[in-house]
Amino acid sequence: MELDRTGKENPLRAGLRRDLAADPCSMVIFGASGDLTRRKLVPALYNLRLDRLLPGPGAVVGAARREMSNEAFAASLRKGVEAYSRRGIDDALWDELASGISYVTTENSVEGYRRLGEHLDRLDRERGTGGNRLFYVSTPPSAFPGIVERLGQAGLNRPGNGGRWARIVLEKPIGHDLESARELNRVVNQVFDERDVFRIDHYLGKETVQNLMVFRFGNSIFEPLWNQKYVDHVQLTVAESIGVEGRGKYYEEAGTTRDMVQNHLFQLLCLIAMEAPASLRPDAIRDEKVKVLESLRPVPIDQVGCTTVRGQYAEGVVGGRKVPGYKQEPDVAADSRAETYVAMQLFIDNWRWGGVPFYLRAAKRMPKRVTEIALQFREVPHHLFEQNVAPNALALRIQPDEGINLRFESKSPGPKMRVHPVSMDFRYGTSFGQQPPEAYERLILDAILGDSTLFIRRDEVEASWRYIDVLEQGWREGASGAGLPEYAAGSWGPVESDELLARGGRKWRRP
Amino acid sequence: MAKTVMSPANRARVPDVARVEAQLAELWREASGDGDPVTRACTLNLVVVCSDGAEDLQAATKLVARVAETEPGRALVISFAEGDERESGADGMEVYVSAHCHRGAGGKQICSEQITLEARGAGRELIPATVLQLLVGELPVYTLWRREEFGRDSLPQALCDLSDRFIANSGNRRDPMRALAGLQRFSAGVSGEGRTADISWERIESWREALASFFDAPSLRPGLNRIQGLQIEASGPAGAYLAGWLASRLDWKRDQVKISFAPAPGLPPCELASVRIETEIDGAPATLIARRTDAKSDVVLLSVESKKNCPLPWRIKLPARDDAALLCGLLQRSRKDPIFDAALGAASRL
Repeated sequence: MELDRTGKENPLRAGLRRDLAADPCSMVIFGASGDLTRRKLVPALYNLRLDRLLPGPGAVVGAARREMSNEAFAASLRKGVEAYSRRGIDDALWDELASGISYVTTENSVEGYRRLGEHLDRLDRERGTGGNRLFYVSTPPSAFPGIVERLGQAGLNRPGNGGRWARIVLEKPIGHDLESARELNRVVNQVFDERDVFRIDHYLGKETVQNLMVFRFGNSIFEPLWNQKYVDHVQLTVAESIGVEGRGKYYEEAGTTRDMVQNHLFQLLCLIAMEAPASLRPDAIRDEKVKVLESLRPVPIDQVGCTTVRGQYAEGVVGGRKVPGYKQEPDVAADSRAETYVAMQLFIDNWRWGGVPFYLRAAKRMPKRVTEIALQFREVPHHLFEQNVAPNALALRIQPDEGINLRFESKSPGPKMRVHPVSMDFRYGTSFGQQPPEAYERLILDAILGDSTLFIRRDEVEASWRYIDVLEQGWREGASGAGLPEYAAGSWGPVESDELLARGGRKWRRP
Repeated sequence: MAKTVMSPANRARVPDVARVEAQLAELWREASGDGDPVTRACTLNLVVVCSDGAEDLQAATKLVARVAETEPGRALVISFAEGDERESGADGMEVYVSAHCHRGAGGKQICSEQITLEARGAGRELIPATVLQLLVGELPVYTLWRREEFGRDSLPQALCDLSDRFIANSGNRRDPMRALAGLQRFSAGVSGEGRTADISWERIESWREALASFFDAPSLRPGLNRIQGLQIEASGPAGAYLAGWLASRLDWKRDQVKISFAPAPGLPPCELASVRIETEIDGAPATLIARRTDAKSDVVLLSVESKKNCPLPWRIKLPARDDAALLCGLLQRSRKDPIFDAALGAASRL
């Protein structure tokens, strides 16, 4: 379905800064009593209304098992907007949004979903939501299949009267391995056409992640260097300073690999390594991303231990405070083998990247929160100067202090030919004074517009799980009686991780 | 919040560009203060031509400071000294440099520079060449013309020739409609070439979005081609621009649509209070209304009155944008705006 992005249908839209016209719709949030709704989803909706990007008056329906009145639900959402919105609350606008907020207690029955459908039909008449439906599934993954199946059985996978679409948004994780991901995708695609399925990885909604495409394909000077001839290796880091924050039970099942590598890190890997798409059509871009995943060199099961390092944080000091170790966290087993740190070396076997190692690491309780991609270039072929010149490095900082940094060598002032590394720096904060929208604002708007560019396609999910499954199997089969290596909270990880790079004569950046 | 650090006047009959640059470097060293490093940020050149009088120079400096927080760059502020304000008989130009600094992301001190050129007498003729010498290379150039007239001398044309965009603010003039007409004539001149812009046009963008949103719904879109009446309550040129926009986008022929304007007492300059569009949808009359909820409110209520099914009323909040914010909006736009050009032409004919 082509989006009308140019005002061809509505000539008054041409030339407006906001030339995208979103359809009116109802947004149904399953798992609405959870944290994500309060902290991210409804503040995003509010800011989209504030920016006049969503047509009024609209409707938001919370669907969960817990009983709650419409008023109590709206009040709790208001508190979330007050606490988490990037802009203050406007009472008149909030009141109008709140007048369209309702709460439905969902039973696990088709009849319950049919009543939901009747409620949505009523909202079409009373709130002008036009028969368009966006179902946002923000529940534990185990609930996904049931919700999807019941939507289908109740006919809610089709638009309402006069509507153009019914879409479903799924929060990560999509499955916990290849088999479960395939099964979930099968269930979802039995009910919703793939073009109406939007799998979220909120990293793709970040401005700086979207800037990767512009940086690579909007500038001609970098592309000739973006390959194995000039790049020695690439480091991707997703580091968090926080611990598991009370989600011990989830982390025991998931671990960092499933929580952060399979989704965020692999998405960054795809954007950094992909070929230029032929167009900005969603599938043109996603086709190139899938090619990266399918070019990952398979790791033999018995080699997994050599190409990966896992660890768990022990007690330490973060942000000037003593913090407990992972095993001291609530709901974490004393003999837990869930990793809070993972590093891996992988290769992309294609013409562009043949022989270039990619080092990925993701971890909790690091010294600071940082997400960064760094291309380390090869050394100069011949050293002319007395000192060793350091290789050039191009670092793309995704968060915080978003920007791009190029390190190169320069002559120090003075009579001798002495070289010194210097930085050429672009910082979002100094060049662009506006506050960028939050990731969820962009993603929710795109789902309503039907633009799936920033969402994960079915085959991307399955290709990434295919790779991760081998690692998980390798870890299970290679597990010794000893626990995982520990690292002090507030340090950059276990020493084994340094050895992973040292073998190739390299070392981790200290972001 | 930006602060301005003024240096002593760099007196010179003909400005020496090298001295200006050195003075700026010294200024940043001073601004660094207690070892707090300064980041000089520069993404554009902004040339501001003041109206007569010291007050407008002050107002322009405040405007530049605000703009610098979002669009850091080099500002060249040009003012004209008359009579006894300077040494009698001395023609030429005096140059001052200053820096506007604010705390950016991460707490860094970010500074943009302002070079003030005070021209008197024959010094006025030196302005275009001096501006050319002081522009930061390879960055876009925007000129903001704050004076009443465009056509009395060659200066606006000369500056427009240097600029990627030449920006006026017709709503701020003593006679806004005359200023709009003057801008249209200037724009239509050989060197205009679609590079002109008006802050007053930028001010009405959210109203344009609101009216456009009526016709996003497929059920109401046929009404676009059946508009019979347009009533606008507005101050300054806002109403003319809105009508000109609709007329040019919808290709209205002369007298095709009955257009009327009414003043809006109590509104700030160049603002809209209400817009009523009378049209026909599915054979039935329909009125589309966008109206502020009250004269001082920034909330606009959008409603449709029709015997046929029509959407519920809804509210939008107009963004609070002063001249600095509107100017930043223009600086962020692509260089040419053919929609504006067409609307300006149509507005000047109303």
